[in-house]
Amino acid sequence: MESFTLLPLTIDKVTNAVLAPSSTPSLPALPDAISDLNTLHRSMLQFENAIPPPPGLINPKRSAQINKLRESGNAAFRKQAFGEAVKLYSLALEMCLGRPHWEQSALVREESAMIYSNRAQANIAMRNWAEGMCDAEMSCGLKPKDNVKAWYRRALCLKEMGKLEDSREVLEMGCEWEAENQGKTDGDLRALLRDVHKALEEKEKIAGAA
Amino acid sequence: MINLTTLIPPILYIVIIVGSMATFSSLYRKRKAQAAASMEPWFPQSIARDIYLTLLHLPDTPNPPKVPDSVLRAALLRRATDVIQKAIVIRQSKGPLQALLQKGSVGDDTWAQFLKAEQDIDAEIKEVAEDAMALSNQNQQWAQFIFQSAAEMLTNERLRTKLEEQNVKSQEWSEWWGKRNEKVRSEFLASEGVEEIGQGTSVNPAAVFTGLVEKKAGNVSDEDGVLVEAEVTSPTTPKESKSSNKSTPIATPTSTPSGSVRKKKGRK
Repeated sequence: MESFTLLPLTIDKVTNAVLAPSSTPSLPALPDAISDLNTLHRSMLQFENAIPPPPGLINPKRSAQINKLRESGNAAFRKQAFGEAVKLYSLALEMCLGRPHWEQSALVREESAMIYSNRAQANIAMRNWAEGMCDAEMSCGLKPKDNVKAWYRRALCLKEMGKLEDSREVLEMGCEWEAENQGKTDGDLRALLRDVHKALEEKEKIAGAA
Repeated sequence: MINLTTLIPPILYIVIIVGSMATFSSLYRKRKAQAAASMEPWFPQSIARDIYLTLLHLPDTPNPPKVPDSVLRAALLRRATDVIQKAIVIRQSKGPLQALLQKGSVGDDTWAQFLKAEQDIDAEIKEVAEDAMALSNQNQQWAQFIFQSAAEMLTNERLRTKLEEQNVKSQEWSEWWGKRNEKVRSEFLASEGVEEIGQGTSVNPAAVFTGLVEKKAGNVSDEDGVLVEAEVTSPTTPKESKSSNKSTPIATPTSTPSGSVRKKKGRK
């Protein structure tokens, strides 16, 4: 570990960006690493001494903006302007995922799970089942616990798309994750599960008859 | 007076013992060092480390450019992320590797290699912390939280990669659904006959809505295809009509409510 490879790097005098020769056959990963470094450098410049704060400190401005976008998305949803709501949620999502990487990832998870879930709802309202399913799946993946709505929406979309088995699987998974909330908030989930079971039985009956 | 000649054998004995031990130890150490040097590194060469050290040593090169501290800090943070990742890998693989070693599935050389990697990572962590200390200012002791930031960056990057993968999957889903929708719609329209065709052209939410209804009808048609067919006057089978339908632009049926009513009928 006492030695290192001296790379042919230079520094741009004006922008202070690190430059590497455009073609480095021996090091294919170098250009990516350099561009990562320059992006990080630019985003670090906003701080005094260019030292990013510890993960616990969050930029309040961005949080406020994300919240505002989400709220206006909710307002648009209530006004039944679903397309508008989807657009606003997408903007909020972009802001949320654009958070600098040294900020807490847990926060990003929490926020984006909520926005994805909301966008799924708006997509469901527009009957874009595929998009709704994907958004809800994202939400479930980001935050499987205490996210009954997302589980419900995901299963609903699958059911509407005719994927009954998948829907049942998702519902069962959701019920497992929400076991703590049994009897409190998972009523819809269980009702839908019953529906799906019934639909599956019917389908089997018809298949058997045929 | 002791006879000097009687002392010679024990002295000779000690000299030989100590001498042979010294030779053995020096040879052994030399070989060990050689083996360690020739040992394949556990991790591939770290590019983040190379970049940071290159930037650090740029002032030593002829006609040195000015390296701002902020660039060095960014490079150090990248390196810290890299080190943290390796440290996690080391920590996670230590237990399983030990078990494998005890079972004899893994040779001693692998274990030695691993231990060396562990030492190297520890040394690198120390090095990064020292450099962070040097690069921090009085108010902020960066060394105290550079690894926190680095670990967070690592999780965040993993999260983004996962989201990216999921995004690709989502696109596949919507493509699949779009295609299926289209197919079912054309089949449905075909079974409806041609009289309803030729109104809506653009894709709007209503179109998607009817798409659903049609899909439902198509979906249910396995179960009660007779019912759906019964309402429909034209006896053409979907396959035949599909080809005949191809020339006509895909359109939505006139009104969605009737579609939904039909769907309900189909369900009964």
